[in-house]
Amino acid sequence: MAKNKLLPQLIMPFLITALCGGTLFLLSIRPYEKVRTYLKVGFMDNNSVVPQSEGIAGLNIVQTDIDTEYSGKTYSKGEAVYPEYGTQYAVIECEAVDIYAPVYWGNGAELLELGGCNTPSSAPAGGEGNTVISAHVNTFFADLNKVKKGDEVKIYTDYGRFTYKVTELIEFESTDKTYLRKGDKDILTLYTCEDNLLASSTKRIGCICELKKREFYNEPKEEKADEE
Amino acid sequence: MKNKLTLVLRIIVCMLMVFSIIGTCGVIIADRVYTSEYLRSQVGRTDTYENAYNSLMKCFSDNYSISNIPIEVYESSFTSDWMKSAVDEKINSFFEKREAEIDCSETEKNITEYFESYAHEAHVIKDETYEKKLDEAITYAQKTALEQADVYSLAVMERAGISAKVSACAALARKYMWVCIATVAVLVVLLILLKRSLYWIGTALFASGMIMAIPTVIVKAEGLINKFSLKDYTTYTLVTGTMDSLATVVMMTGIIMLAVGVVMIATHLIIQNKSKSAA
Repeated sequence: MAKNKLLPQLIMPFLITALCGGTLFLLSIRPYEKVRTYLKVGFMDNNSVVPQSEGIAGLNIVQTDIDTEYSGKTYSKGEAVYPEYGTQYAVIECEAVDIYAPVYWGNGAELLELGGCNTPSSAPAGGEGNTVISAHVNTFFADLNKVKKGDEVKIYTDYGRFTYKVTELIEFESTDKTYLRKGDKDILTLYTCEDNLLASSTKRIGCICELKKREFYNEPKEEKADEE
Repeated sequence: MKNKLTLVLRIIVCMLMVFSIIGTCGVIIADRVYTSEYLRSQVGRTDTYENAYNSLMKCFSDNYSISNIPIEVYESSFTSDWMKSAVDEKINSFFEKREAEIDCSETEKNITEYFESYAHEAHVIKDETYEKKLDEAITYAQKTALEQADVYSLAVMERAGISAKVSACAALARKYMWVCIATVAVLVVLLILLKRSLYWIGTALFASGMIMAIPTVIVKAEGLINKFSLKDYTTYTLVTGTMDSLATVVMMTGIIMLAVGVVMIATHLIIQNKSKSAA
């Protein structure tokens, strides 16, 4: 008899918990629906990257040793390789004004400290469309304002070497994105801040270069298939 | 028949008590948390004063490539003590519904001095462009510093209308806090009148404790708080630190209530057993 009374008394707390919990669950469905989007946006990081210090968390900067003296066979056709964000994938050279700088795929203060940055929304060197590279005026692109029409610009990558010729000198406001769009013309846009002695400048200066020569190091896939 | 009616009544009162206990805990926590004191204590606990200062200096250091103003100029303008008082003032002014009064005069003085010494050395003419650039540099420094001092992004919340909603909820919680406490008291009296109060109050505490503890244990065990998407170091540490502290408070409250509930139920069963044995 005692046992018969003990069991319901032990079950009752769990029953009450289930009833109250269930009621609260049902009551919270509508409020949850309202905030679900915000919660998903706010807590969407499944990698759970925990920032350890100031800066962009998870940015993996990769330095690459680019061969600028490749002397092997080259092909006029090939595929530009999209690098990983934060990777140094190229070296830019303009002998006329002594520009020689590493180029990183990405943007932001951390990468700009290390070299030029190829905007990820543009094309990589040798790719289809506009390749946009920027760098700081007081470091890597200090002499960009000295380039003249007709100057040669070379970009060396792991997959090829690309030669451009300066065709237009440009000036635009930092808010103007006209020159930074990918577009469908195979060109190279280089830009930096206007050389200001003090304080920040909203003006950007640079040049547009036309692609003159593509030299890919690897055989294009189509040719390989033909040979087979 | 009477026994069954009493049981149903006890279950209903017990369930109402569970909701009242959870509500009371909620309004008490909201009352304690939505205060400038609590927010400031979290800033201190998560080293946010220091992080915000480092973040500010990094902004200026990164901007050197554009501004040509060395970090030393900013370091002499903004100290870690300045950042602490600015962060506190931002929080206090938000709760007191007034404009924050933060002294940035040192910045103006130091940047002007730097510009003047530079102009003197480089023989720069102090024309309209010089004045414009000086003004831009001062405005940028002050704006950046004040933005970094707003560690809880209170200005953004105010612009988005979130703060008004949260304030209204907190005011409502404060208004009804005593109503909730009184409701719990009334329900306790009711359970006493319905007899076997020790067991039923214990059951209510047990259920409330479970409902509060289980979700927070899941949140902590799954590391849901660490999935916070904003990876800015200062914001991330502050937000996740504050949320973690809140989850701990709720979880501990739940566990304590659960334990008290279990003890009350056990005591009731022991007393019941003893009285039956004596009979």
